[in-house]
Amino acid sequence: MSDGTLSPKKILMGALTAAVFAALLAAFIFPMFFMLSTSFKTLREANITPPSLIPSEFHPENYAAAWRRMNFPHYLLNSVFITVCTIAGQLLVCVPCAYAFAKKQFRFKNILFALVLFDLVVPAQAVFLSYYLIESRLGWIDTYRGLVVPFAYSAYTIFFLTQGFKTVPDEILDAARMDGSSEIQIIALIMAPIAKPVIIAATLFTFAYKWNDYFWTSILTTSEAVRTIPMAIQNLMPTDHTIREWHIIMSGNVMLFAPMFVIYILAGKYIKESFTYRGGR
Amino acid sequence: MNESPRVAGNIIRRMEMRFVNPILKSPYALILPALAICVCFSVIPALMAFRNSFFSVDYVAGVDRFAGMANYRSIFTDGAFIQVFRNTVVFTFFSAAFGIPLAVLTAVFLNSNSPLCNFTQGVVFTPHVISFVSVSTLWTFMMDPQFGILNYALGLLGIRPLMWLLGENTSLPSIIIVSVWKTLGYNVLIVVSALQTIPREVYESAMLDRSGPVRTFFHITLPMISPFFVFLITTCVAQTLNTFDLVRLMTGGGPKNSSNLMVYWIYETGYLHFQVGKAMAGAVIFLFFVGAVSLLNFALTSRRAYYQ
Repeated sequence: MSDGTLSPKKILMGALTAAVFAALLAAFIFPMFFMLSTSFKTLREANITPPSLIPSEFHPENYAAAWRRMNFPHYLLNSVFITVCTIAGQLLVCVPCAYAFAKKQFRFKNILFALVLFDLVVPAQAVFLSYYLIESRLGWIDTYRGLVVPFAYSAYTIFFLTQGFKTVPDEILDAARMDGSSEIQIIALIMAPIAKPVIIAATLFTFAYKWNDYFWTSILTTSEAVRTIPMAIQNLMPTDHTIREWHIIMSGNVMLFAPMFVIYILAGKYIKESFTYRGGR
Repeated sequence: MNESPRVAGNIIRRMEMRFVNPILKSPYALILPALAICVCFSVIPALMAFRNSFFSVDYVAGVDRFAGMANYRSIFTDGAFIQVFRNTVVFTFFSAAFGIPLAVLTAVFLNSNSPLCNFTQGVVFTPHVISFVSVSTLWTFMMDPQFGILNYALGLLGIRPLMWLLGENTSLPSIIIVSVWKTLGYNVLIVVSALQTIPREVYESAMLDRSGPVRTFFHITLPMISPFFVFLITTCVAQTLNTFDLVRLMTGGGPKNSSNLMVYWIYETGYLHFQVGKAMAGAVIFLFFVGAVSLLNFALTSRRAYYQ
């Protein structure tokens, strides 16, 4: 456009670019918009053809119904509690482990590192039945510890933190050790602040993974007691062949969608970084 | 009174140096918690799966005896397993075959710092941070054969309505669409970060050489981001091979197993139908398959590619 003329080729290119943008945005915004729109409709309007884009009348009480029928607060509390515990557990378990692999020399280091990264090779989903058998023998089914303790270890987190910790200069750690710092102080007061971006990225990744997890929660629980919000929407699905109340289900789905979406809007930059970091391994 | 917290702090610190620190000085103590959980919940489950695949196991009746190859024979004579295995290969292949080129094109298109590009990239990434449950629920609604908006849109184009998740021929393609939709943003993110490693001068000299956009794409962009393809293909394949949520939430493997995938088959056989030995035999075969695919992928792509 710099020479100010509009050749047919340029107009065509401009139209093509606009069309691709429109198609991309439509493919990704429209489904979410339609979910939001349906969540305010009546049952009748949710099921008409042609579908209406904007509800003819707004029914925010759908949300109250979904909230009640999903028993949402119960699931939300479980989600918060389990996610916070898992993150805390991973920090306690994986940070010292990564510190040892990044900064210490010891016998069998390579073998032990390979063993700790076992999960990168063997997908745990394939052997979940054994998980279930072990947890049921321990009496951990339907307990918080059953959903937290095994997940305090993560091969991804350890690998990722080890790579990050390696960039911290040895001299700083040695100087602190000379000054009489304990190992806990070295990890918490020197290592962690320097490697903060890596730790934040790993934590965000664990957060997104655990908050959204459906697979392990559905395998390791049999009742509502410790279930998290991804399982709450089941309460809105009919158990027999009656019609699905899509307007209520979509309200529930918006509630499921909202917390992660808000966090993504607020911390999108960090979340994307945490995902690309993993890409950089 | 002011002294007491400091005194207490000193005592704690002295105790720490005396009793805790000597233990933590040993690297073995630092890795012990992680190692313990890893052994209990990763290594032992894998070994158990291997062991149980040769046993006839029934926890309700208390049966647990050696059965030789019986479990393996039973899954290969059972037509369902072969079908599920084929479904998994088809699902993974097409998810990658559509997903990755689409991601490369989108990334090249969005690779600029304009607000519109950043916004679009953010929008495309959104499904990746949202749970599979939310995504599945949304798409099940849109794919409803009777009232769904997708059939309405097809009608506008003059195409006959599809059965989507409820049709034997359309159920697997339907979940492939959802899988590509959900993972596109992640793949775009990886490709964009790869594109940003290409120095600007390379493009400038291509411009001077009067290289057109298509030529530049095939002769400069693609070769220069090839190192990232190993990672991209590996994660894409590993993720799609392990797909469970979409099947569980959208189709239940049906109709007639047409959209059943390996992990869901293991779940169905072992968890819902209590055929533990048979499910574990399937899991072992699946593990070897996953291992072989990642080795092959690594061997084929690492010749030209390298990690950062």
